[in-house]
Amino acid sequence: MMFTAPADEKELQAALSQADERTYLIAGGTDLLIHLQNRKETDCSFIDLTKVKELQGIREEKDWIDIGALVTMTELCASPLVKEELRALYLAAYHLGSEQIRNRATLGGAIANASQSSDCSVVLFAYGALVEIFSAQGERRKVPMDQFIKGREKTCLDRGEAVSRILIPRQERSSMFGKVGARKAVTIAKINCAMDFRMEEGLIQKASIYLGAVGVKPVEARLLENYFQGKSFAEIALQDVQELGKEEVEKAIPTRPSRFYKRVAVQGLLEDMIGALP
Amino acid sequence: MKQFKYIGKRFQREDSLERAEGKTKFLADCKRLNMLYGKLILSEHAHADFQLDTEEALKVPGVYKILTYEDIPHVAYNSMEWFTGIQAQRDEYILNERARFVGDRIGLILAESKEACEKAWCKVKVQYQDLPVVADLQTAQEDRILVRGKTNLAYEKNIGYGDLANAEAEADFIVEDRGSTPRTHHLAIEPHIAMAEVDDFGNLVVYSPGQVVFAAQMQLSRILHLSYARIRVIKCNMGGSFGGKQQPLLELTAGVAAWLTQRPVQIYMNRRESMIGTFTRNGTEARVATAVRKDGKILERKVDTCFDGGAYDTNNTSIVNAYAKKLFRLYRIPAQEFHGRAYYTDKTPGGACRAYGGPQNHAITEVNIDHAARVIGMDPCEFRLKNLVEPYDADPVGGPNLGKAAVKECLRKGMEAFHWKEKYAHIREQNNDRYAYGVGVACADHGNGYFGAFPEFTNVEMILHPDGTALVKIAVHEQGCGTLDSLRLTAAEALDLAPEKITITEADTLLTPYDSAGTQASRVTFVSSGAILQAGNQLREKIFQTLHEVEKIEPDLLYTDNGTVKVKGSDKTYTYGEIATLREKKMFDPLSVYIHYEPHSNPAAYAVSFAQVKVDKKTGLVEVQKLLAVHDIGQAVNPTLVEGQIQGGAQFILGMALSEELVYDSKGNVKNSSLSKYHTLNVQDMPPVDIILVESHDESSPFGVKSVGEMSAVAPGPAVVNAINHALGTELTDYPLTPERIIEALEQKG
Repeated sequence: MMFTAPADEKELQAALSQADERTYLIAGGTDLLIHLQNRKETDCSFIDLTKVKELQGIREEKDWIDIGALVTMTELCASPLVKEELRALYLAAYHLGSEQIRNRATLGGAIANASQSSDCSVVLFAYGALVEIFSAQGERRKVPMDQFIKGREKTCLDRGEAVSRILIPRQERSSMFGKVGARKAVTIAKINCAMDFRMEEGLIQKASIYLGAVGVKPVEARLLENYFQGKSFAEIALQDVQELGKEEVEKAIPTRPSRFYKRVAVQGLLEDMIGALP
Repeated sequence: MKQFKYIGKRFQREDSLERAEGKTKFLADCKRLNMLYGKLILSEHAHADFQLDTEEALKVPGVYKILTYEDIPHVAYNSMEWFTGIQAQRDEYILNERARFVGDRIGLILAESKEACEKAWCKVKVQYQDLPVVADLQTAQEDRILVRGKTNLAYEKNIGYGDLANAEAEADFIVEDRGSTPRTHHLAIEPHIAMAEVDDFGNLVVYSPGQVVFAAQMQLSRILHLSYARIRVIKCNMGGSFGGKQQPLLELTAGVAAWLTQRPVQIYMNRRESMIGTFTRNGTEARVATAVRKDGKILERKVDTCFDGGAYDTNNTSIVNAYAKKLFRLYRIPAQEFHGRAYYTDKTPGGACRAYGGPQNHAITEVNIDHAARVIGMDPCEFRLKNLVEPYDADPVGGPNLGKAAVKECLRKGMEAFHWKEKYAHIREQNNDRYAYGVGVACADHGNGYFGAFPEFTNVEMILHPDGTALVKIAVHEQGCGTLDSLRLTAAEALDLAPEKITITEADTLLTPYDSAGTQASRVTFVSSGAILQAGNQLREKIFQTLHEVEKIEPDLLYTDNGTVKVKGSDKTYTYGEIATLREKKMFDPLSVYIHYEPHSNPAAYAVSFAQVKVDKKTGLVEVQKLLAVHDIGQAVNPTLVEGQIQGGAQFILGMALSEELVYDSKGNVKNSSLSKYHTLNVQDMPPVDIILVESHDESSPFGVKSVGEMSAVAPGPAVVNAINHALGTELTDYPLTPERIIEALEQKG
């Protein structure tokens, strides 16, 4: 067993080049520790990312909001930039887990874990975010979210690679997130949804809508996107949206036993989200 | 009504600050020189023969031994037995040869550290040869696959009274419901744990955060063939139990391991192990048929219930009997019949769980009562008022008299405070496409100890020290509900001494007097207060007698005043401490008494809950907006603690009503053995609990007290279910009412 805690990208590079198939990258640990326990893994090595300074902080750039992989849910919620410009991400971070989890769980970890019900993933899909991946060779590549997450708990990360930053394109936007879990708080989504609208003169120029927990990874809700396109918020008819939402769920999980519940729950979810739009 | 000096007043718990500050030491904080840690290997298959491959695990540095069935005394026991007079079916072993449920004990890792235990546990390989599995009551009843022996039927009971045929002939309607209640887990904050060591004199000492030290001593004596005198079981600090630690478990594992290794051993569990590898509330499936007359009179009731007993016999007899008992003490019904059957299944054994059978029983019967009220078109409260028991009614199946039953008063007071009539008539006017609103009510009864069923007594030694403090040696187990604080107030009242001068002990088989049954059956406040009152009275007499004999003062002139004795018509004052010294010096006798106490009654405790809900018809989520709990408490000893019990009890049972359920697949795997998947109501979902205490002062009870801790965990469940059915116009009877079940019911309704 090896434990290294690199302080910067250079040291991270060295650590990543030593990584073998039993080396885990750990940030908040809120998912990893549970996985390791379930898998009964003992003789493994860890690279603790939490000290790597280049992986921290939220940067405001002209075309991007650039979020370090180590930024925690609590930090996302505390950022005025995220709160104002990335409403969906703010809401997802705010409602994730418990206070204690939010203090440790990181955005990079949330997507690297690639849980099918991840609240952050569905939001980043809707935003069309890019994931910056840093390698043992010191190279950086940028991968769109839908290529980054390949399936249930599967990503395109190779050995010797780490998520370094998440880039969200800036635009005149209005975004929204919602989820339905087993209870009001501290709950894993049974179904979640993120909407990102590019706005122009009060009209939706482009709608990007994803549903989560209705497949191995977030599913693009094309019927809904088409419906929203070109409309103003005032023109949206709730019943139409609910009907399309139901169709989306039936399309996404035509055989799962959970569809009976989710095709109704999605209607409640969409009602709440539409109601919260400006 | 008698005016009390201490009882009925609000006192803060003595240990609340140290608990809040995290200073309280629990067993997991305790260490011993050379102590071994122990972790059980629990079966991952529900029914299987197995081979353990421990080769790699034994190579982990620090691993001491891995014990299996072959290394352990082969003595069967039943963990529910609490004294030798109960001879239940004995089929449990410290470690098992064959696995009978997911979570069954198949090995024990002993190591120098927890880390080594955990690492070794990861490296133990288990080869299973699967056997057919009985994973549900339906399969169990078919007897096609047998858990053991010739039938899965473990225990059967028929009990009833009255003229059933006559009642049915007179009835206008027979209202029938079928329903089920889930297996739930107690979820004490502290997972199961125990520690044992061999002392300098070769005696086995066991530390138990449990409810029954004398039972643990008895079980270990049988298993180890060791005399009682050489086994000492000490109740230590506990982080909650709710019945989950009422059957000795790790106490026995630790005791045996310490005895075999002659080293201190601490056996611990994590959350998952505690959830699958100990005990759960028995799941039930029930059919209730109630015969009613149009005018609202209940004529007859038939209840037929199957109990999911789990893999070992444990509490099969207790759960059926405890469930049955509560059917006969709530409504005046001329004829009733109960048929109960407990079955073995390849699941975690059933065990005691807060309110023992009451939550399962009232879960269905109280929904059925509402159903019957609907059928005859009567307000469910009025219907109940017409049929509830009256004070001093007899128990129709020969149990103890109901005593000063104040359930009707509870219902009336609750109706008024809740604005029942108005809400019941109008709340649904708020309904819209998304949300439905409703109100519900439910009543419930519970007992006060074992009188009428099992030996019921306790002994107490009460000592007044020369420094003016009092020690009350009594075998009680503080479970976190404030038992010690309550008893201190009763002792303060009995002795006329400030509570802070009184120490109440916790159970220790070596030091505290024998007690008949441990901290269970809602017996502690009722029985122990009686014992303390009797001891206090005798001790006060001794105080007067001392002054009479030594100081030649007529007893009639003496009276107590807060730890002193005063003499009428004189300014002379003696402190209790001075009197203790006088007695020892002049009479060669300490100022103490040792008494035996038996209660001679077992009045019923009652509770009525009112709930208001808002149901999301799209997500199926239920918000309990209001909850009112009205309790026939007899006399609150410390209202602050009583309210705490009622709030906690509501949270406990609302979980069973709305979200808590151990879900099993057809192979007997538990699908939600973690808190991320097993949902209790957390703080955001928990409504404030309004409380009304009805102090009926039962004359047969010491200070008039009645039970509350278990009683509080019953009525809120069916009250919420009745409210949901009121809101939606459904007839849901399968607990818990999860969002999925609610949506399914709404879809079916169309």
